[in-house]
Amino acid sequence: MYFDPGTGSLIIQVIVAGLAVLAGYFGIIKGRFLGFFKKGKKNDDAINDGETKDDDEL
Amino acid sequence: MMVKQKMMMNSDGIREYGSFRDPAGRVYWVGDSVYREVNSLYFEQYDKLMESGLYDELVKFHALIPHEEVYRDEKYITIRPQVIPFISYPYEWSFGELKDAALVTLKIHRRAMKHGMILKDATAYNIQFVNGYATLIDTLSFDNYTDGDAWGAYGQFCRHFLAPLLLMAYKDFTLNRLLMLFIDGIPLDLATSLLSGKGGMFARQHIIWHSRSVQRHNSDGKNKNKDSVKRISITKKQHLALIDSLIRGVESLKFPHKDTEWGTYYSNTNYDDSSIRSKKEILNRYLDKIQPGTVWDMGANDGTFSSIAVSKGAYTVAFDLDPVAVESNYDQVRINHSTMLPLVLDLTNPSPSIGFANRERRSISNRQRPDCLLALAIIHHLAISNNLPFDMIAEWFSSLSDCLIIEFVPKEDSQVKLLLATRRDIFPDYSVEGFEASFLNYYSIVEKEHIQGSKRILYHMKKRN
Repeated sequence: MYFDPGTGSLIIQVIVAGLAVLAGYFGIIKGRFLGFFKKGKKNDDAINDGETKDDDEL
Repeated sequence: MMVKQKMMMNSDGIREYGSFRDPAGRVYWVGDSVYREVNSLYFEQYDKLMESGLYDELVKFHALIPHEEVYRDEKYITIRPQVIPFISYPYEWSFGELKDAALVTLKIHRRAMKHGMILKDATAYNIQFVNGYATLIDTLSFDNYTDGDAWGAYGQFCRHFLAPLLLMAYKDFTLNRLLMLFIDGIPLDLATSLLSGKGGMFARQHIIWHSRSVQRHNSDGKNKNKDSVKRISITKKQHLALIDSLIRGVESLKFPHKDTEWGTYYSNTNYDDSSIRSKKEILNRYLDKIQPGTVWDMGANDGTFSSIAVSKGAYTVAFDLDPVAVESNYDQVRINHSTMLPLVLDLTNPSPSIGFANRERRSISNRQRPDCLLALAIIHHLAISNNLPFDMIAEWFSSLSDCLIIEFVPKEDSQVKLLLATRRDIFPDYSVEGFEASFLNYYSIVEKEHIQGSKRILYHMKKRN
């Protein structure tokens, strides 16, 4: 990096990234719970591993 | 085709003054072509960008400016990126433009991680608009990603994108103008203060908590025990979850609906149908005669008449003071991907030159010389609402372009009567005679026509030598 990222920015990033993972898990659980009542509908994982689902968009 | 002669920035080119912070390379101009010189310390990342498939994918989605490699030796690579038709800055963008710029930055970063790379910076000045696409113009923005790396540009992203977007969405849609005052983005403590608690959990995490963390750790580098400043890491899963949550948060931000003075100008009954048709028909003929390659519409509103210039093949910058009108115009441009760039601009206080030595970001006057200016339905606002003498308006317009299409709106017009309804008429020279006498000091009148159904006159003028 050619500029100072700032320790404060990096530290808060750990916290918000952790919250984002938790929010993702809650999203999965919620999706599966609601999907239980909607037959034939797939549940999408809230967290992906960098693979975009649709190569027709960025 | 490789150019065998090496182009050196210092001997052949004129440095692009806004390109100096990143030692990986420099931008310079040779004539009308722009070049980027890549230093050998960046060869590894550049080659990975090109060979991994990331470059091809991003260019395919109009997310990265394409370039041609014109020279390579052991010390330098020279690339020639596609020239951007008009450079604009985030303090001139509408809410939608800033939002799209933020989203493309995040999505590029996410896609780069798929190829083992990341964006090492997230400055709004790395994004430009090309035919309605928000596009990254800094090809050297990519760095290698190692699992565990946190996003070093997260703070910059929050200052350049999130802070102004949240302020525009929750407080006032003109607050991105603060980016003109703060060259490296709106400080998070200022954004926290101005937001006053608005913005929900999204603002709370990325602005308020973030600001507190920055203030708390401001002096960490002064701690003589360097072990206390530890390497901070997050897993790839956490990193991607952060980016996805930022994308969702930005996507959820909405332009606040507000009726403004000029936001729906052409939807109101200021013109009847025959007047609009007549004005369009005259403008069509003038533009057919001039055949401009580039046009600036100085009071474009929602782009109704700028679109005529676009239909003639002109690259058109559509300026307007009213952010609602510009937003409405951009909504169409991003769908149609036309050669129009809507921007917010106050003609009585246009963007100045700012940054280091007042040369980093250029004033409006120093960015381009358009083939033609359109000044439709604005002369009365400049002369009466803003007390600008005709000769000063003519002098400034003539400094911008040699060709002018301008609409004179006389005192008998209902819009001028409205402007004078609550103030004294101190404009004895505001007449056709006064207008022509002033403008003839700078222009010759090529032709003029009355707009049917109104007392307005549309002029085609050419700058005097």
